[in-house]
Amino acid sequence: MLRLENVSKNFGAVAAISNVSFAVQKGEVLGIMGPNGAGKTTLFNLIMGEFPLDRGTIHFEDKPIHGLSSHEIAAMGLGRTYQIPQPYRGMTVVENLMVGDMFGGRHASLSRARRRAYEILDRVGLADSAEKIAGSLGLLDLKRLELAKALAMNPRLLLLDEIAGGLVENEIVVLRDILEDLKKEGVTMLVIEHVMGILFDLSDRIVVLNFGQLIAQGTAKEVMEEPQVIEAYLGTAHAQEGRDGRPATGPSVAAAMPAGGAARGAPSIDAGPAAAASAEAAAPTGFAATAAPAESAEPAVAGAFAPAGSAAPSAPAETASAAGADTAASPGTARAAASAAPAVSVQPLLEVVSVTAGYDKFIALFDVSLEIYEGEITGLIGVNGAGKTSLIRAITKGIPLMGGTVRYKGIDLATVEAHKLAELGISQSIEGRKIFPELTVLENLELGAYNKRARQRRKQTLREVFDLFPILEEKKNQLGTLLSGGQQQMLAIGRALMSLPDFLILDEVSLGLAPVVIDQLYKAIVEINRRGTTILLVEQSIQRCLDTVHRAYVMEHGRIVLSGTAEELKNNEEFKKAYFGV
Amino acid sequence: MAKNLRQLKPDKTAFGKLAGLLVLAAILLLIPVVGDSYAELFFYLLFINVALAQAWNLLAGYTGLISLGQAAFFGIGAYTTALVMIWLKWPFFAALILGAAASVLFALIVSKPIFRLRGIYFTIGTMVLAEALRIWMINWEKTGGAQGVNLPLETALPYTTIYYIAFVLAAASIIIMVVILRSKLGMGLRAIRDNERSARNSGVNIYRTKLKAFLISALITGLAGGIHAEYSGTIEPYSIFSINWTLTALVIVIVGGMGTLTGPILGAFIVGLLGELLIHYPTIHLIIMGVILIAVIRFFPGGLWGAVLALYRLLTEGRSARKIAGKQSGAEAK
Repeated sequence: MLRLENVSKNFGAVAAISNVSFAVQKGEVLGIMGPNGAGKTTLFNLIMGEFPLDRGTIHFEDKPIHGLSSHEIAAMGLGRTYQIPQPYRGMTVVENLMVGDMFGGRHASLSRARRRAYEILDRVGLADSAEKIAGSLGLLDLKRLELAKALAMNPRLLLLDEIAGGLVENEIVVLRDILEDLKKEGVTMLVIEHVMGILFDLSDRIVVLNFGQLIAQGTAKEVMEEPQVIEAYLGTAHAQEGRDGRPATGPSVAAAMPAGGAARGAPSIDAGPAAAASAEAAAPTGFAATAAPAESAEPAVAGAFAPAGSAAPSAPAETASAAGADTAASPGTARAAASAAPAVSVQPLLEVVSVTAGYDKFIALFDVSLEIYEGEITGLIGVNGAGKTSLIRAITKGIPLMGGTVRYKGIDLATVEAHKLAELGISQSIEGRKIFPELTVLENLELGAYNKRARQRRKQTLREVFDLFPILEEKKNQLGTLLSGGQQQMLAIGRALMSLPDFLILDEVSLGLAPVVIDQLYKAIVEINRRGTTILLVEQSIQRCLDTVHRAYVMEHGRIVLSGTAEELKNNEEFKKAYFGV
Repeated sequence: MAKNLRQLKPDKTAFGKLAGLLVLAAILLLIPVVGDSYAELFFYLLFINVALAQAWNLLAGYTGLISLGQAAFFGIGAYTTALVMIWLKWPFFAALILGAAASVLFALIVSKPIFRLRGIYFTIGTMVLAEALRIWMINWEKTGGAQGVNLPLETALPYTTIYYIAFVLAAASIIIMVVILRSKLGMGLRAIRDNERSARNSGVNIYRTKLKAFLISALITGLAGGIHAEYSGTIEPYSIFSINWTLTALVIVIVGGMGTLTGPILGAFIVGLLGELLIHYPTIHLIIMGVILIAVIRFFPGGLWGAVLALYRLLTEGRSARKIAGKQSGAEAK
């Protein structure tokens, strides 16, 4: 029904989609998977004619549609939804649907369009809001409207872009029912979805994109066994594990490393888990010390995982020597030193107790509790829309709490004004690296030192930041806009450090960055922690996160669903299944 | 199903509205008979302004195209009508039709480049277009340059006739808007206004749909220009191509209520009345207009008619919300 051949699209120097070919059969549901930035939405945009193709062809029912404009493609029977709802805000809900019905379906009868619109609204559960102005709807209803709008076009091929994202459990069930009904009716669908359950249940076949390339296609089971897919989602170490069919023990990966790793140009990825395993053995981690100070079994268990490291102090040295000089730069090894250094207290630095919070009409966090101990790196893991950033906002008073408490150093943060948080030693590098583009690197950094204590120590802190990120010193007189993505991230972290935080929140550090750059950043993060700063690390890149943190919390649909030490999570079958699909 | 039927039933208040409109129309038609020439002039200008405001509202309020170049279409309509009457000795009505056609043709010619501009750039583009045309007309000797031209006095229509012609234009502009809003075209225009990208993906041909609105707007504006030329008897580029025509329409629509049908009518009346009340204090007039404009934008972003509607909705929704609540508790009881 739909056939893509060698489709390529570059945006400037970035190859957003390169040489992608696949076909969708009539009545089939094809899932599209891929990490953030893999080019999934771009693919939809290309199919819908929002941008011209650089190369390749797209056929719909054997007619070429590349080169046609969007409205012509839409009128041929292709309906799409947007990840971020795109309603006609000034029109009523029912009118929103009538547009698609009349223009997509090419007829002029308002009463017919209205009747059909009502049928669809009944189906998606929006009938009660039919005469409301679309702009007044909450996010969940807007998501429903987005689907309804596409359905109103009576499409023969539906392109669904993340319609389940941000929905809570029971709403996902409703949505799944609707989609399954559509499937039974024989509607052909292309589905981009981060909620894997829906994608796997619904899809007949799945194609997987990574960095704009199609890396696998087949049934859900088939693609999840592809080493390349596992690698895209987890990093290389797990792919290796999958290939070998046994856990990657310290020595084996370390031994395999110098050749394979060097060839990849990012050796520390390979060495990561092995080194981390040794690190766990090397020192009583923050968590072990806190949760069970007397538990002597901890080193032994970790030791079994990494046979090489038996005696605690010798482990880092051994790992380093086994893996060669490269590994010295890997997060894991640095961690070994990190976890040994700061003194660990039993009283949590930050306590989140039963917090419920959200936005106007949308609850993003349900009864979330977590504890962060001084001197630790705590990870917060979860897919897009799981509520990670909302939790950060709830902690830093970006959104009001509807219930629960956040305590920092024993102080209830409800009694503290938002701008005073920095004085308490809380600092964050927000998602999206919001640096000031019109200011130089140096000015950006100096702006970070806004509290009195930080201002007095400004020169010294600046030196430390430059030691951490030498590239920033090199570029200190350049404008923020001229930095690369990775450098901007360094600047954002550097700026957060300028306020001399005791507690640093890093949101989506690695988002959209190249592996080599991520390595540098993680090295710096471990170093920052070693110097005594407690860190909350929010990550989508699970492997990366687990290799670095002491403990992690896993979020799903606004709830904490799992927590434990990095090792516990890595070995948790349920977790592996949910996130790695293996 | 019951719900569907309710939605398809004609608006109960429509008959009331229609009756009200008919009474209003009757009064306006009697003005030249019972009123003096002052009242006649006042309402003549009101009609022209209602037409201009509806035309501007079609672009700004329903399509999201903020045009500051309506004077170009007004001027082309006026000049073409006048020149056809002078040069070709055509009667007024034939000349008026040609004037409107010229205005639409001009809109068609400039549409391609001007639609490449979006948002504020479209606004600036249209403004530059009208200004360029004005300067051209000032310097073009053939059309009388800065002095302008006089329409043939011997065939001049009486003011009262022109009054009725203007009335028909105002009424027609309102009817055209009603028809458009109840058509596929109106649906497409509002979709474009609210979300162009989404509209495109719903199958709306953006260029063609915008063009239709642009041409209809040019038609109404051109007709208004032609009628005003006949009314004035003499036209010159400074006043005919003045940006004031656009600005008046803009103020009327914003004060009355953008994207509403009644807003421009209400706005034209308020603006017209204020102009007459303060006619001896031109400076204060402008200041007060400015203050009103700012106040409306600040406090009633939907205009005065929008505020009336919001108030109405508040009152009735309170009632229907109670009804729904009652129903729900009833359903729960079952």
